[in-house]
Amino acid sequence: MVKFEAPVDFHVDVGTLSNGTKVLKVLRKLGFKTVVLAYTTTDNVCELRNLDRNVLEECKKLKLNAFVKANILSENRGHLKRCLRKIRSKVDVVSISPKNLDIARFSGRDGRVDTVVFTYDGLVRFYGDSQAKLMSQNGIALEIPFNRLWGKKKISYKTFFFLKRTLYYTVKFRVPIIISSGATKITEVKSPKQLTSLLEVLGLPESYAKLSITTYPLAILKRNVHKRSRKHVQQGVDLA
Amino acid sequence: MRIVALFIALAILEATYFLALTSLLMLGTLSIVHFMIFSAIGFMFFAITYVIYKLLKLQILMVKAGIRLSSEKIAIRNAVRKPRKRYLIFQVLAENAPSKNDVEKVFNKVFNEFFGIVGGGEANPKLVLYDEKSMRGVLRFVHTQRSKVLFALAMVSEVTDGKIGFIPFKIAGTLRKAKEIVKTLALD
Repeated sequence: MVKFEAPVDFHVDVGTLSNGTKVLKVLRKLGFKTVVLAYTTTDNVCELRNLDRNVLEECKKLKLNAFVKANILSENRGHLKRCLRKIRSKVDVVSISPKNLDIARFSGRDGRVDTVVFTYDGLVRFYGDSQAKLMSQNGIALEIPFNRLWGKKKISYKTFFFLKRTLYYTVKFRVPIIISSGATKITEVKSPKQLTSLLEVLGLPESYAKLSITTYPLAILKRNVHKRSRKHVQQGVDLA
Repeated sequence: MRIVALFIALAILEATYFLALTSLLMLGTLSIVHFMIFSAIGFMFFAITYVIYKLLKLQILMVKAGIRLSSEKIAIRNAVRKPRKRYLIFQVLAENAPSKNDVEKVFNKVFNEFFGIVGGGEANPKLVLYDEKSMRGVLRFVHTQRSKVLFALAMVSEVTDGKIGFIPFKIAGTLRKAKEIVKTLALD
């Protein structure tokens, strides 16, 4: 029986994670109850990965609910479609990091996609009112990984201007927003309150900011676990 | 807007009533006495409608003013809230154990970079306690500025390229309690 408990860290990078078990311990200590372990792949390679046995055992020991996420770096629509067909039913969550506008719009429209991951450059270049509208209509969440958000550029007032603009479109069109740590090292691990503080600093009330690590990610996980279960036939059609 | 629309509809209804009365008088089916009586009743209704419309408008204005006043009151109350101290217990993650000065320097640099002098004055963060061995410490700040302090702690690892990370454990109300928690809490 899968448990769905908040708070959730929606992106912990297992591919680049050095001393993974220690990171899991820290996450548990910080109060996380569910962790989504992500690996990154490109659309033309479309790698399928299962969780490492050690990691799974460690999660069980720590009473952490673990899920697998495929983060697809994509720049070609054809490759992406093929990759989605292959990968969708094998992993719990599918998220896309678009490299161009075409892919950003496609991932905002496709029902197989759960979240669209935007870093700072992506937010500036692709995230506007039309993207937000598309994502809102199709129930696709906007995911912001805290550590990958800032990039290598120097953080300036413009960064916060664009973040505020993003938040404006997100709230206006009611796009679900998820803040994840995107941790690759132990020093990059963030506590749940640190994650929500980003939205609070940008002006959102605490109650709304909390949704980004509780309700929204859990809703996606619940939906996908149900979709992958044997009871599910089609959208709106389930076996009793 | 709805009240105005209702008033206009009633006024049109009453105008139709007067028009009907006049046409009946001209056709000769209504005597002058009856016409006078019915038109007086019509005028009375029109006056009542007008008074009610004005009263409703006044009440709406008063409610709006009341809401504005109460929201202003809340904003003022928030602005002049008595600053209370909170103590954040944190753990530093780094390859080489940094000294108290280093930790203070890094945190102050990050906090000033993001929130400036005004933000610093509001939050008034200060490193009260730091143990180099266990790399655990206590940071004092004003209770209303919790999110700013947490955000600055989160940004430390970004600014230092992941060399130093701050992990906040708990927030206590008194220094004594914070010291107790520092002794008991451990990452492993």
